[in-house]
Amino acid sequence: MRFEEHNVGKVLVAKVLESRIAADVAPRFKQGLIDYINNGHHVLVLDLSDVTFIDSSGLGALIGSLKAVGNDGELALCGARETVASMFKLTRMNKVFRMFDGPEQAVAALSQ
Amino acid sequence: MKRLELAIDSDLTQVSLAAVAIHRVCLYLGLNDARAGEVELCVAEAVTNSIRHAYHGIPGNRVTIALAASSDRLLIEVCDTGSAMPLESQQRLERSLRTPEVQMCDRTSIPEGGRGLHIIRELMDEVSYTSKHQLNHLVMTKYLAEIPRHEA
Repeated sequence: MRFEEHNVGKVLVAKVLESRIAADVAPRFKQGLIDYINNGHHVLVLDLSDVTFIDSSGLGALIGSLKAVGNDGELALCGARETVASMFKLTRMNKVFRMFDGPEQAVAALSQ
Repeated sequence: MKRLELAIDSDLTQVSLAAVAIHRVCLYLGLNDARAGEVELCVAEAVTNSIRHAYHGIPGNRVTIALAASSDRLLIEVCDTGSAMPLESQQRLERSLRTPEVQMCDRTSIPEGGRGLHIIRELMDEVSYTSKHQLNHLVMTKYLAEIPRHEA
């Protein structure tokens, strides 16, 4: 699972460089996020702008990662395309994850 | 009636091939991209369930995906010869359960899995499951109100 990451202050912005987050890659996707958390990044923004498909396994990996950042950490999402955003609405996960249009808005919100 | 049948090995790395193919076929049949994406997602969820639960994640088994389109509906049938779906899951499919509401403050109690059948139930108009003679069939129906009759 490929990511491209950069830091903005205390926030780590990681862009997913894959178009599909499905059951076959979900464990590696989750492990990639857990690695960031284990390396001390507890405020993360995940840029999903290149992702065109996510299934329930991909969603589960995100939920597991959200739990791993703990209540003091943050895992926010940005750039979700319509198909991906509709998956979050369908499963009510849009009420669990903070979702932003782009990384700038997400970083601004998480930097406060 | 237009018909298509695809078969993949029971390996999660093969699921996207079938799902993407079905998405393209749906576009050809006249569904818009959002509805074709819904069908793709349901196929991915159903086939993943077959591989994970019917075949316990073991490759070397066959999952077939059959599509049939008439003027007013699209039928997708996912078949496997593995273990039958537990009765409790079958009942969840038959009842039209809605996805439960969640609370933002309830982060730690949100389950990571178990959403596949909910998703199928929400996006499809009809869902049925049968298991007979070691052959399991999940049939998903989507009504195609907006497809012009000459398309199908």
